[in-house]
Amino acid sequence: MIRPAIGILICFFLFAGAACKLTRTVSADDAPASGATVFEVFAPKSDLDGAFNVLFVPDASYGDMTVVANRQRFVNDAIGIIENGYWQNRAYFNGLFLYNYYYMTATGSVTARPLDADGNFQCPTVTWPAAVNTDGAFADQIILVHANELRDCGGGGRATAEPTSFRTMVHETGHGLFGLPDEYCCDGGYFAKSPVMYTSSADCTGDAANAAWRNCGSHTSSRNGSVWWRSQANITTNLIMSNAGNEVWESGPADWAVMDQAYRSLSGAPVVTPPAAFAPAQWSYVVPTP
Amino acid sequence: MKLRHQTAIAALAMLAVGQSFAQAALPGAPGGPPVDLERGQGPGKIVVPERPKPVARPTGNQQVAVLSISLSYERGEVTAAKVTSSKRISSFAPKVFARQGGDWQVVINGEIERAFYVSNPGLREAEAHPSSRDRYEWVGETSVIDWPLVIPLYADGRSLGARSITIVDVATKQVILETAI
Repeated sequence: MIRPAIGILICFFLFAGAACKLTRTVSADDAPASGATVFEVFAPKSDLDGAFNVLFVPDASYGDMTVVANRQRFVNDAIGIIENGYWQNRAYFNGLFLYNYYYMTATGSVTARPLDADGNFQCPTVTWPAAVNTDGAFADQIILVHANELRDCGGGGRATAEPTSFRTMVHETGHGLFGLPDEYCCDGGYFAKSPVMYTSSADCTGDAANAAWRNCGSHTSSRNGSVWWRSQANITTNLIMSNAGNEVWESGPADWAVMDQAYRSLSGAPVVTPPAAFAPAQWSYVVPTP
Repeated sequence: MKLRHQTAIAALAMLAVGQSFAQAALPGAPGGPPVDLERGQGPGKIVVPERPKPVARPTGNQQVAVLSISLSYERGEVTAAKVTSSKRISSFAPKVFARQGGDWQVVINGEIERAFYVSNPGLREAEAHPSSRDRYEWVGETSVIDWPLVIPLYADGRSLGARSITIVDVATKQVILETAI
C-alpha cells in the first residue's frame, strides 16, 4: 500500500504556551483511504471502528479534483473547518484523536430554491455524489462544502455549508454523530433524551442523571404545541445546540453526558477528559499561524 | 466569520509515547466574553503519530447494507415509503449505535437484534438566517425524498446476521417501513 501524503500535527511553543495546527500537503501519489475517491485529511485512528469519521465533500466550484492544486485548496478549507469549527468546542477538542477527517474527490452541488407558493422557505436541492453511498458509506458525518452563499439545511448525518459556516457544521454534527436534540425555542427538533430533554417536569426533576446541573424549565413547540423540559434550562446563551450566530459555542453539561456516552461506545471504550468549560462560558482554542 | 482570539498560557509536556497538555487561560479582554479559567485541565495524554498509519481495509464480516428509500411527504408527514435499491457492500460501518437519540429508530432484525436512531429526513433544520430573524427553523418537506440509509451488518466485531429492518417513529410507535435487506 502506498503511504498517503504526510499529514502533520504540529505542536509548538507559543510564548509560554502550546498550540497545535494541522497541515497536509496533497500529492498526486496519495493513496485513497476508501474506494477510489476518499482521502485522508487527518486520521489519527487507523481502526475506523474506533473513531468518528467525518467526510468533507466538495462542490464543483473547487474544480477538477484530479488537479492537485484544486485538491489542496479544498483540503485547506477542510483544515480550516477542523481548527476553527470542531476544535473551538471543548467537547470535541478533548477527543481530537478520536476523530478521523477525510475528503472526497467526487463533487456534489447545493442549489437554492425559491420560496414556495405560500412564501415559505424551501431547503436547497442537494445533489450528493454517488460515491458517498459506497466509498463514503463508513462516514458518520458527511458535509458538502459549497462556495455559493445560501441558507443551508441539515439532518440525518448529512449537512451542507459554506466553508466558513463553522457553527452550522458543529451544530449539525451534534445531531449526526451524537443524536443530540435541539434546545432552542420554539421550532426545533425535539425528542426525549435523558439527561437533556424530557416530556414532563416530573421526568426532568426526577432524573438522577441530571442532578449535577439540574435547572428544569419548559418550552412549547410552535410546530405542534408539545411541551418539552430541558435540564439545563438556565443556559440560554452560548450553547452549541441552541444558539445561532457566528461563534462555535460550547456544549452544556447535559450535552456532554450524551457525548461522553457516545465516546465510550467506540471500540476500546475510550475515556475523554470532560470539558473544563461548559456553555455559557467559552473556551477558545487559538489556532496558530504556520 | 469572526474567530475568537484570546490570550492563552499553556505548558506542553512531551512524553516518549505522546504528549500531555496542561493549560491555563487568562481572562478575556475587557468587555469580551467570559473565558474558561480552568483551562489547565487540558485534553490529557495524547499521541501524535509522526506519520499517518497505513489505512486499514474492511475485511470479513465488515459489511454494510446501503438502502435507497423513497419517502413521500406532506408538510413533513411521511405518507409512503418504499425501498428502491438495496445492496450489501464491504465497508466499515458508521457509528450509528453511538447516536443517542432521534425521531425514528431503525431496528435491525437478525441473529443479533440491534437498533439505532435516525432523524426524520422529511424534517430538515434550516440555518438561522436574516430571513428568519436569525433563528433556526425546521422545514417540513412536501415532496418525494430519496433517502440513503446505511445499515451496519456487524457490531463489536461480530456479524449481526441481519435479515430485515423495521423503521419506527419513536414518538408515535408508527411503523414507517419494514423490509428485508
